[in-house]
Amino acid sequence: MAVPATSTLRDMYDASGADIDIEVRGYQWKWQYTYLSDDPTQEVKFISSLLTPPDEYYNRTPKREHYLSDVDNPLVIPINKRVRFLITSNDVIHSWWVPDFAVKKDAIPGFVHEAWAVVEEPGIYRGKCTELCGKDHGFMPIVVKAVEQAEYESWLAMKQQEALQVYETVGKTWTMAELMETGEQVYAQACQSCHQANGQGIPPAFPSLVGQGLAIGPVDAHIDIVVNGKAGSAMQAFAAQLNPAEIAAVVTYERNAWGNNVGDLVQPRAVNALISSEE
Amino acid sequence: MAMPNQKLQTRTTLKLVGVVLGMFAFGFALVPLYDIYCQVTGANGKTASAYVVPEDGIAVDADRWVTVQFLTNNNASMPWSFRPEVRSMKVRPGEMNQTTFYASNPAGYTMTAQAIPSVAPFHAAEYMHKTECFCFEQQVLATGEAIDMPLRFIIDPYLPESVQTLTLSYTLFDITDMTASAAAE
Amino acid sequence: MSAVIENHHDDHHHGPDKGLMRWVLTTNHKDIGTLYLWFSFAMFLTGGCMALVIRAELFQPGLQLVVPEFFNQMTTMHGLIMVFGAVMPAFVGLANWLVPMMIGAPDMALPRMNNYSFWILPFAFSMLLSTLFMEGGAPNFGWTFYAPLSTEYAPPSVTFFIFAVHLMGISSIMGSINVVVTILNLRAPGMRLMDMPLFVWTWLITAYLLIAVMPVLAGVVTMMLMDIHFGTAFFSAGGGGDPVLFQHVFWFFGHPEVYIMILPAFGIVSAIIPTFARKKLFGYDSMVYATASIAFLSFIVWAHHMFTVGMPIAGELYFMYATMLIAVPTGVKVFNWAATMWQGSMTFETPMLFAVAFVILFTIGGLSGLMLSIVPADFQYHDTYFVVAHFHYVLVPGSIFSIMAAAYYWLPKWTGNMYDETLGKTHFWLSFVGVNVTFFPQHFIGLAGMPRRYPDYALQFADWNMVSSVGAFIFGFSQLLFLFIVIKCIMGGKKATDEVWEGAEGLEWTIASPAPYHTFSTPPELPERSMA
Repeated sequence: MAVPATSTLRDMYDASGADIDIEVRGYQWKWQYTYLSDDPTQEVKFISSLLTPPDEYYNRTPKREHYLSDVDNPLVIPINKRVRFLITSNDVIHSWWVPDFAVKKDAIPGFVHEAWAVVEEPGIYRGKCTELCGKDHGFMPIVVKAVEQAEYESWLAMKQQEALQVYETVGKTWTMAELMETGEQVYAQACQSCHQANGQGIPPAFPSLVGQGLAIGPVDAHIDIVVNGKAGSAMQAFAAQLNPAEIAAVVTYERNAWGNNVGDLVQPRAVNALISSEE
Repeated sequence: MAMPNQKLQTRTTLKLVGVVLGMFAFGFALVPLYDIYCQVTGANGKTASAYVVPEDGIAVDADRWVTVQFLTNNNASMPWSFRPEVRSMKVRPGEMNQTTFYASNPAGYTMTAQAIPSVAPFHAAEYMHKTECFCFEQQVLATGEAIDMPLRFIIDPYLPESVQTLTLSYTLFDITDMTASAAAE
Repeated sequence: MSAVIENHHDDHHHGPDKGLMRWVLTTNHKDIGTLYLWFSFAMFLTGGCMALVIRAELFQPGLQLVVPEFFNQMTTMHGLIMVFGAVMPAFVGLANWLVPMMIGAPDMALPRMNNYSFWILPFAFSMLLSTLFMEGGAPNFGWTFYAPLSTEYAPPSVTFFIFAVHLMGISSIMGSINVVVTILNLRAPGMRLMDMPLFVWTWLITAYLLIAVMPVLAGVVTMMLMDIHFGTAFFSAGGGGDPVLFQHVFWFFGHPEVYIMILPAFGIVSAIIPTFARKKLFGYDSMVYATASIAFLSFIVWAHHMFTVGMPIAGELYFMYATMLIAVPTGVKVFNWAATMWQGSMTFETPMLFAVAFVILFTIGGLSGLMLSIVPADFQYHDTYFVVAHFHYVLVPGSIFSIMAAAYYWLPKWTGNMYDETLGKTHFWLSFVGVNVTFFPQHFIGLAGMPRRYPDYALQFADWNMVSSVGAFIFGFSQLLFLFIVIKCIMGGKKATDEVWEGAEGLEWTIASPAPYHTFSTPPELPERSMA
């Protein structure tokens, strides 16, 4: 048993000669994927979060196929190419496991580890986080879509286009309705796991946003805490994960949902100005 | 069995107390001891001590190209902007190379950061010699301040043949609180 | 609890004090053994309730009963309480009761320290359990409490957790020193080390393991304390430290710890099987050497708990080979138990049922352990239910069954009454079925891809989870039957003889049942052949 295991392990440890490098970064409680490229405008970075809504896991609506195994933005890779994964973490130890790739590597904050895979069959491959990382350890699955090279390239081009487009929507003026609609979606993907669907959070770790605090306070401070996070707490700097339009929308949503009804709205260009002034 | 005599008991007690004090002192002695150990064995590829180029220089391996990739990330809610000048560079072992990393502080107060390096693959770490590096150095930036931090490095010609791409990742940690409490003492 | 014997003409005969203070101040190894055993049983039931909360939630997909934050507290506390509150104190209780009697000593070498060792535990565990009611909840980072989840992201109760661990560690260290000193100094004249019953040998070796590794655990939680409260960065990359350092130090304690939890079990089974096979233990010497080899090897295999952490390949390979090696002495022991039974004259009273089940089911746990030792395979098993199945097989039908076997085997000696054999067998069969229905399917869901410490799971894991939960409730409720049997035995029953079991060998079977409050106040005359 030891002999074949040794040669297999040697092979698994050799990640050289990769065609694509992808940084896999574990967050509480989602994954972020960055397709590394020498050209910054060609670099695609996005967050991959659980798609299953709380209604399903709180048994309010029936559980659909791929319950707890589906994400909003899967990792897309081409078949028959050597993909190198650079695995790290933003906060606590997570672990990136895709059984069909025989890849399981711990994501350790401050350190980067490599793993590699060559996927020969196109298809959807599902994985899980396998290191206890807090309350939603069971709710941050992994989905990898392996596709033909042509499809991969067009997907990549689309993602690069999307990034550019999002940036450009920052220029237009949004209506309250548009902001609230987008804001609600962004809230569900990025804020709900901590601050809860009803905005009441889980104090003291995750404060309530209803009728108190910055959500009804000065709007600049509210934008600042979403953009820059709060040092020493679990509140992350969301400028790294959300574009200015998404931030403007979610801030607007928080200020007007759950009876807060502050009445103001935030334009993406204002958020963008703040972020640019910080650069 | 004779009753234990007082002198023996006292001696044993003193010896045991001595052992305890010795162990406690040993804990403190470990700090310089570890420094010596790391210097002698060269262990701990993360050591911040700068590499000294040998006097007669290093032979450049003109035929071999190694890709060095740079990753930058912020840990937890660290809000700084932090990015490499280039995502990757093709270098030859033995050559002196240089690049910079841009960092800026958008928060409303002065912050102190520390960049923690990590190399993949693990065994390549000892072949990456940094002659000038901001690793483990405390970086203070006031509100709105920005800086370009230099990195100068040489890839050792003895880097194993199997390593064609080497990834150096820097993670920026917010140590404002840690340094503040240390300063307060 | 035990009867006062009036007709032993000792120098000064006095029975136990009356009332509650007897238990608070006792320095008698039998009383302290009893205290440990009852404490352990209470913790077993408490930890068991937590397990039932876990399995009730996992009965179906979806979050029905608890929220994920609380689920994490349950998994953490279940682990801590079972490891530190149920299994370890039970073995210490058995050591206290049996070791002096087995070596012909009047008591443990350090009786007052023995009392302190016990009484620390109720305080430590009250503190630990009280964290469930603190703001932020109980520890929720797994019983293995990896940093930085347990340092930077922990609830405020983590400090109480650290304090409780320190207390338990002090208790274990003092208890182990006591065991070592007792065994090395107080054996009856003529009893050489290689004449001692195997239970005494396994406890001698276990005690050395405890003395070696509990300080390491104390070290790692102290480093955690420093990181959390005093600005150090042992486990934080930001300050120049490394979260993986935590894992190395923890598992350097953790691996010997699991051997600490099984070696006394080997000793118990080695006492019971020869009795009910009416045949001497096969290969006494090799059993001793195998136990010592296992103990030595246990120090050099710790990183097999960390194969996915990104260690250099040389490290991974070394730990794989070293871990595979441990299978050898363990296999020797299993073979020897089987050889003891071969052509023996066997009867299957309750202790024997538990002991035979131990041999078979522990072996199953050992085989899954061998699978886990293969690094590339472990990449698939690590942190899944396959690991959960493995360690529950070695701990439940392993350690716990051996403790129950010991209870049934020696209760007649402790109380003077036979337990109810029919009820005992019923308890055995319910537990046997329960344990297998609970844990065998966990191999399947682990292989199918379900990770550990998940409060909810994808639909393909539903069926076996439901089966496992049913088994857990069967097993859990059978333990109430065990409680009933123990109490019933203490209250009365068929009177036991001194020898109790035909074929039982050992000094404890030469004294009266129930064992008098003070035994072997004068050392016994040993018969010529060895006591093994």
